[in-house]
Amino acid sequence: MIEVKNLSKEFIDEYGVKNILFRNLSFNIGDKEFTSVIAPVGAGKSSLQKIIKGIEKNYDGNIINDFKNPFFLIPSKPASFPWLTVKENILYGLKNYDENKVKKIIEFVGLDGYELHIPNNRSYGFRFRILLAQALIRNSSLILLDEPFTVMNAQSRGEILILIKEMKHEFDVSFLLTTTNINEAIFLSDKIYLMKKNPGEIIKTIETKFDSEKDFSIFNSDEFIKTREEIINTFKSLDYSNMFADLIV
Amino acid sequence: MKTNKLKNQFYFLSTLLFIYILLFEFILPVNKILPKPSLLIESFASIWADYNLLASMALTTTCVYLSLALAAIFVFFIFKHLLYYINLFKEIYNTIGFYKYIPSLFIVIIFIFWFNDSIIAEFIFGFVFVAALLKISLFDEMKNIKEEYYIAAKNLELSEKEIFQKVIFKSFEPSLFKKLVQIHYSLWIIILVYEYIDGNGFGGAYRKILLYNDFAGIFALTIIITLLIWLGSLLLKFIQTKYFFWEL
Repeated sequence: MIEVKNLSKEFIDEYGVKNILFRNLSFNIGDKEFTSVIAPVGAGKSSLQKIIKGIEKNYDGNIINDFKNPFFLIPSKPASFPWLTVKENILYGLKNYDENKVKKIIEFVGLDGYELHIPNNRSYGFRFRILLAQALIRNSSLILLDEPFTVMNAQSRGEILILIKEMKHEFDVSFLLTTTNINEAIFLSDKIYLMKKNPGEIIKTIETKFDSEKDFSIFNSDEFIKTREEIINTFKSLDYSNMFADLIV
Repeated sequence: MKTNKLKNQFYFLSTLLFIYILLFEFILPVNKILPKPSLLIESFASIWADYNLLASMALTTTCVYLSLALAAIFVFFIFKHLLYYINLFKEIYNTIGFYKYIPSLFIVIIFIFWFNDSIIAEFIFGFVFVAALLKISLFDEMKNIKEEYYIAAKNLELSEKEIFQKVIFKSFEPSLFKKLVQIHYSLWIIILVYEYIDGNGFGGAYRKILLYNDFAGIFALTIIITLLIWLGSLLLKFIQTKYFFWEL
């Protein structure tokens, strides 16, 4: 489990004005749990992910980490190294690895037959699969997803969402997704935190029950719609209606 | 598609050649625009002995390609190990980066002033010219480090130094090599200017040709140099396609 406790971060913008990005932000991510944070643009979603990954270090508060293995961050534009083959990318920097495990993971993420391909000019969905394989081969305890689905086409996005669900059940891994996309968050998550901005604070926690669902028709179920309405209304009450312009009729 | 393009190019060049022969061999044999084709062919044979062109060619091509190769090795193999430290002190570069505004001709003149017609000085000049331009390009690249590569490297547990050496520098390589291909053309020009002033190599040959008013010789020498530049760029493009393919 990872516990983010009273996380606060301030920064000075280019006009010299002091901004509070997060104030006493607290939430947790359980073992084998898919957690999402839905927040409007500019709320600091990417900064939050980078702080948890350990890339950004200038903050106050505590991050209590019980996970044994390192975290893996997949950014909004998933990138692999275009000068290496798919397999070289997956195994980059590893000295010892189990060839059978590598084969199993490559098959699992749907890259079998592409091991010797160069990922250059490949779709973001393809690159995302490489990153998932990298995370799995390194036994990452937590995969941080910083809105990586927005750059994918509809078909890739659908396939990847299902793949992530299967991954959660087959491997010992947790996820933290930061997003503005309500449908993806409800479909994937066990728990959703709603975060406002200026400053970033958690305003609501929602438990969801669609863990076993792999059919996108669930988007039209009463329960799904009810959860979606709850999220939209919460953000509407904070005057963030524009955030979900495509969902609000 | 490619065959058609080559065919069209061939027809176009053949037509130009035909017009040139017709116009300057038979209609306007005496003029100051282009030399008579038969004189040009004769000149191809004679300039080698008249201007000691083989030695000039050896000097100029060695100077151009050796300085290009050594500067590339210097930047691609040595500089990449220093990239992490360069990044730490990149603000200093911004303050001393004004050197890119100094005209290259000044450097040519000052080198000749210091070293007279030394061949080694010419080679060192070529090396400094290429290395300086590549360094400018490298620093420009460092303003646009792709964050996704940095994160990808962090995920793979690389240290900061390794990230700069193995990932960030690698991601710069295609644009650096592209710059090297462009520098190759500039290097030929600047070395010819250098040699024109100090009297060695192809540049020196140009000076003598001009001195003797050898109209056909100017064209013959230019055609030889053009072919050498073309062959050099073919070689560089081959290296670019083979080793820096991912951003072509």
